[in-house]
Amino acid sequence: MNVYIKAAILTILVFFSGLILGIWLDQYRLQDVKRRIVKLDISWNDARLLYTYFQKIEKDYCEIAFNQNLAYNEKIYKEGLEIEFAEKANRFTPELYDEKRRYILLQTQFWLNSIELKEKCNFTYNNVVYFYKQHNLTRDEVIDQKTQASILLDLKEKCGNKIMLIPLAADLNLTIIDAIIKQYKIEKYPAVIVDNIVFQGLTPLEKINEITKC
Amino acid sequence: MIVEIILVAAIISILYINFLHMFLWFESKNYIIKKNVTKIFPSVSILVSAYNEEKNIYSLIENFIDINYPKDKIEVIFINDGSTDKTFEYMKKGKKILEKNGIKTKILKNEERKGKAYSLNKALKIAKGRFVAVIDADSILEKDSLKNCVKHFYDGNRLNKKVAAVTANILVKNPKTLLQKLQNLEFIMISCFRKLQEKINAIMVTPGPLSVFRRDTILKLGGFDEKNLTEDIEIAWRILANNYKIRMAFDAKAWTDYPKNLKKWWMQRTRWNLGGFQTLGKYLKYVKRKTTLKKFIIPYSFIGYTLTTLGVIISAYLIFNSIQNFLLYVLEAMKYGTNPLQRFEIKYAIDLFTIFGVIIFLSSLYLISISFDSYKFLKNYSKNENYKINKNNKYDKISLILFPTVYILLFPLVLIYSIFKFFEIKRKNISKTWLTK
Repeated sequence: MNVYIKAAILTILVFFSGLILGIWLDQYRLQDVKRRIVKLDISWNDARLLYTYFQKIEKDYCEIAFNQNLAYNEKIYKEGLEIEFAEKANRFTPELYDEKRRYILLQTQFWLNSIELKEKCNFTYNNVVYFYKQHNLTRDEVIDQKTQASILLDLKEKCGNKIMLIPLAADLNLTIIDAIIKQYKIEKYPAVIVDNIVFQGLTPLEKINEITKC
Repeated sequence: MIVEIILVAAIISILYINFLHMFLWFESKNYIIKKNVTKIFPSVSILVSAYNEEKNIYSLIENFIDINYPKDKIEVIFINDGSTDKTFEYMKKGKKILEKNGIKTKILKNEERKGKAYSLNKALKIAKGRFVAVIDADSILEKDSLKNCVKHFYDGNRLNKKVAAVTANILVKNPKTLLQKLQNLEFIMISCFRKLQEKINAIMVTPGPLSVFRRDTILKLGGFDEKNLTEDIEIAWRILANNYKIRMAFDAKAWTDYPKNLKKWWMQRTRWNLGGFQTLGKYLKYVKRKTTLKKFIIPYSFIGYTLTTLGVIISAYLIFNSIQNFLLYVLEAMKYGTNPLQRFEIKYAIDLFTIFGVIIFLSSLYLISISFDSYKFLKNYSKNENYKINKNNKYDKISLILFPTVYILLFPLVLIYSIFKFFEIKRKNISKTWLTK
């Protein structure tokens, strides 16, 4: 066999081995994301059931529910970063898109729960929901979103438990998100909803803090 | 998506070239030095074209006297290519010295600078040797180099009529500056790979510092191309296009001056690239004919030039874009009173391209180690370490680190510059314009 053919065979073998290894790594990350979301889902259901149970027995559930909510907020934010990390590296796992959608749905449930809890227990915390785009971004949108994320993290540091920070991707084809966007008439990204007040486009910390008052 | 396609094409091409050279090494590592010593000493005309080389003529003459080759079989032809210094006078004095030592010598003169190819063609017409050795005026040959080159034209005692040229192992003469040391490393590697490419008859250049040709074959092929900036690349391609063979005498060492500073290095590499483009353009039509040009050299050069160019453009765009985005983000974040760097962290995910990057890096390291092995092998084999210049011919640790990390990155940059230069200079005047610079 001549060297040209030998080199071609080895190239094909190594290329496909690399490809298989790449696919395996992507799958590994996908499975990891799936595991994380299952865990989130379980702890969400656990928190929800606890909340329902305490309501049923009419025990003073507010403080417990608030602490659960806070812990969940922190957890869901960290898991979000891991999903984002996997999204950047993975090339062969379109299923990751669905996992992201599941994650956004959990975030939305959390938001709605937070609203309900606030109303029922007369809490003064603010729900700060950050809407961002994930696809077809212009350069200005990328920079605005990065800056907005940084501003909101500053706000979280400043306000601590006084706010629940909930980031939501706006363009993942979810009917609930589309309905929220329609209801709040969001047309420009990034957008921030603080309780019922909507800020469209890049919004400075001071403006948001006029409502949160930290 | 386009970036990914280019990356995949680059990965496959680099892997293929690396593996090809690995297989060539496995198959020919025991034969890199031709050990059977021929007792045939055919006549050789040594052609030396010189432009303002007064500093080098004497050492060259001493070198010719020292050469281990029957003096009556050597003929030296100096061509003074319109020198404005004392080259011509030194040639005349050198002629007397050489003739005293029994070496026939002729001197030709161009009234104005006409270029190396023109000078060599002029000398070819009057050369009497069966073979012609083309030597740069600033080269120094090891004592056995000529003999070692000539033996490659023979299989045993029989002349192999398909072998039209034999190239030598070219190294940097007295590498003093860092750049010269880096070039020395580069030429050690090039020599090894050139020897490996001999097996598939894919030696792409017959370097100017020392190459030996069959005179009748070169005349039959029309001599050196006077319009090409790199006549040593062009003649090699023409030899291969006509189904002749080029061999490489790994044990025929020749040292030559290479640029001491970056500016001269840049100019030299640009000229080599321009000559390469000219040659590729000229022989592109051979892609349909059954020669090594079709099998290896044209695809290799074409893919190499294209991917390197696209790679540089895409990398430059991506780097520029991310720096610009980062700066814009920093400015905007500062404007909005948030510290853009407070949550900055480097987190890297191993992806498909990282895997291939590692594979390519490891296979390239293996190839580099092959070239050092071959060089050590040659050092052990070579008994003629008489020249002072040999002692400096070492590679140091700094060069070893800088070679794969910095030096190698200059090649794509000079290629891009050469492309701009290529379009800038009108093709029909390309040779003249460059020579007058």
